[in-house]
Amino acid sequence: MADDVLIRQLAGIVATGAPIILAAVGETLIERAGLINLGLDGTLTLAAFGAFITVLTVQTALTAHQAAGGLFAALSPGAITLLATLIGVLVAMLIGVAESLLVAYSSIRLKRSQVAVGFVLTLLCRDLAIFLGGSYRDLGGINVIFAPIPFLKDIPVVGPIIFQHDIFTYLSLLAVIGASIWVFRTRPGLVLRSVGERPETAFARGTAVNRIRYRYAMMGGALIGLGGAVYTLNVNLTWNESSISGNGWIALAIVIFGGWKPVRVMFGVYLVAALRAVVTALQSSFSPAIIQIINTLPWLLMIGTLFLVSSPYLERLLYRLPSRWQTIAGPLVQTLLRAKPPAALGTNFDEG
Amino acid sequence: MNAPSSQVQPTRLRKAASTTTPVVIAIGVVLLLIGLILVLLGKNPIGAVVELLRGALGDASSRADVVMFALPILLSASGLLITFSAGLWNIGIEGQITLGAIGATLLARSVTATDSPWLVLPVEILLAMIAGALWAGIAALLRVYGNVSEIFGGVALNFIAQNILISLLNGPWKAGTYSSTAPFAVPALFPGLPSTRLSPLAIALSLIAYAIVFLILRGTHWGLQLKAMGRNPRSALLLGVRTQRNTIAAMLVCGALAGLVGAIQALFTRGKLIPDISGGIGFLGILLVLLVSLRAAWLPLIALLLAIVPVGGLKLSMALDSSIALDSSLGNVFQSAVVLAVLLGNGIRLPLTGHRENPSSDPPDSSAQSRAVSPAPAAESSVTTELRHGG
Repeated sequence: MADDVLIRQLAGIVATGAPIILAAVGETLIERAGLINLGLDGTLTLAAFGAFITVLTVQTALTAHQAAGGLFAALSPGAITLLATLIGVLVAMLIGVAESLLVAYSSIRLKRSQVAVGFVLTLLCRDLAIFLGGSYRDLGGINVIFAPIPFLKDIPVVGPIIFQHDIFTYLSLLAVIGASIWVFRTRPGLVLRSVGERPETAFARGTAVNRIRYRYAMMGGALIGLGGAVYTLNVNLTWNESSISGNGWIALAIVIFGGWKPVRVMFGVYLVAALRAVVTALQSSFSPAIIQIINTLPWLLMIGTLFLVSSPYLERLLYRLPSRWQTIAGPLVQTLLRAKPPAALGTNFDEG
Repeated sequence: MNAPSSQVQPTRLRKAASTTTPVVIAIGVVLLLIGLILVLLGKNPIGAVVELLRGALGDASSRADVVMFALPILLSASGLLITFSAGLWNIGIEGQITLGAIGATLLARSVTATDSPWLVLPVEILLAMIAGALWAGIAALLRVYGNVSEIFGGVALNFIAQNILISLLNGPWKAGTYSSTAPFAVPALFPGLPSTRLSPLAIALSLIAYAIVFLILRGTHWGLQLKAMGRNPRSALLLGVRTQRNTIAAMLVCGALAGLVGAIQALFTRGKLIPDISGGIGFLGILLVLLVSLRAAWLPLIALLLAIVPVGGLKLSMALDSSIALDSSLGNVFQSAVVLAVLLGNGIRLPLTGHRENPSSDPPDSSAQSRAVSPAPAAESSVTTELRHGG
């Protein structure tokens, strides 16, 4: 039954990739509009804590209410979990939106460096989460809302990998599909890309550049907050900053590796998640000193992939090939392994 | 631009006021917000502040702690001034500090009590600086030849350095049950003044490094080149600045200073190599440089002020009175909140006064993910003009 193990591994990769996918897709939308939210890592940690503490509080309050025969006496335990999760997710999304809006406002209105504000915010959010959450680390009490999809879950191989998850994993896949269609196949997506590529031109054609940027800052921030919530509510089932921090940076790097395209971003996340699954599987057979070295693999992969998509060497290699091969490999390399950032990324646009 | 000379005095006064007012307001706002959080948590904010200040400044040994905490911050910030001036975000400084500590430990752990400190210490310091510079060099090469932003290269290298450190402390360098080395022998350590916790050597090295950086940026052609790169890399390149070479050189200098920080941490502050050897000092250095917006003259003073918070915070976390006992992580919140508030406050001043401030007081706005150059400026900036005439 080696196939079963493999399928379970793949399903695990899809599930553990969900929060990073949500965060990376959110960041992709923000960066497509020309903004950089470098505070992603801290925001994930803080949003994860916000969701965690909210769910625990609401669950406790509702259960106590129920025991006293209050307003919510009719609610089933499942309904309480659902309600608490919903409120927790909302809180996390609000945290993400607030942080993203702050970056957008400081860039658009205050003309501050987005990199500086984002970097300080990442430290601030992480430290705030550690201060507020220090005494809540590793508490239990989170219930997963498992929701296999009828019919689809019975498809051999694909069913167990993709359609036997909780709602958050489905949301991550929907976010990828939705964002991809939105960015590349709709009129508002075209406007979004124009704002990130040529804000002056977009503005001359009557687009309210900065209003669009605020809008996508909120949209992307909500997805980042959701990603944070998924860490506590689905992947870890508890809160601890040490298992979250670092992932935001990975998500930021994956946005580049994904060439600001949601589908490629998704595959980037699965690549990292797969590598991590391998690292976890190796851990039992090595001494602690060696494990630490193996643990650097995701970071080496991050450097390697960024080098691959950004350095000029791939093109130079391509020119060495016979011209027949160039015509085949050229477009393939362009779509799969090249990353051209939105031209106006990180710049401030003055509408005045 | 050309103010009549009779107006110089009031203009300068007003300028000084307009620089400090937002900072004061920003700190006030942050204090109010944190006070509010503390009240909501059932704490006594005023008592906590008083206790924090007493903990940090109350007696001679605490004041020595503040000075010794400020030194590595000042040293990191000095190195970062070089990279920031060139428009480089050396976020990898934490890893460079870690590698510096590892480099110093390479020799320090085999030193015995009979060795001569005159021989050992210089080599240790040299090893630390080389190790830090090498680590920074990787990020620089990735940036120059691979187009990999120094931010992402730096972040990844930080995590890798941390893993290497923990791996060493759990494996070949492990001494006893804890993951740390054995305490180093006396000749391997920075000599301390008797009966205080001050190290004259660390103080001297930090101040010399700061002075050199200050002079490089203030008075040398290289400093001018770096500043031109920070403003507009393309213009600098067109004016004949060798931006690639300068990028690598700036990162190497910063990495060497970060390595020195690691040496101080391992050979004086801790006296051995421990897992969290950098303790976030590199990031504090980044916050410090952002806080002073590249005005090098303010560094030592603000570094001392920044150091009060963690030193006092440590005492506060051990306070017996539960109404003021606070986790020391609140100090980190306070520091980054102040920097954020100052960053934003400097921007809020613009709409109020109605004119754009001198952009030189801004941290460089290098695009994080590409070497995309900002749209060509309408007028040549003063730095590039000076560079053209000077060089």
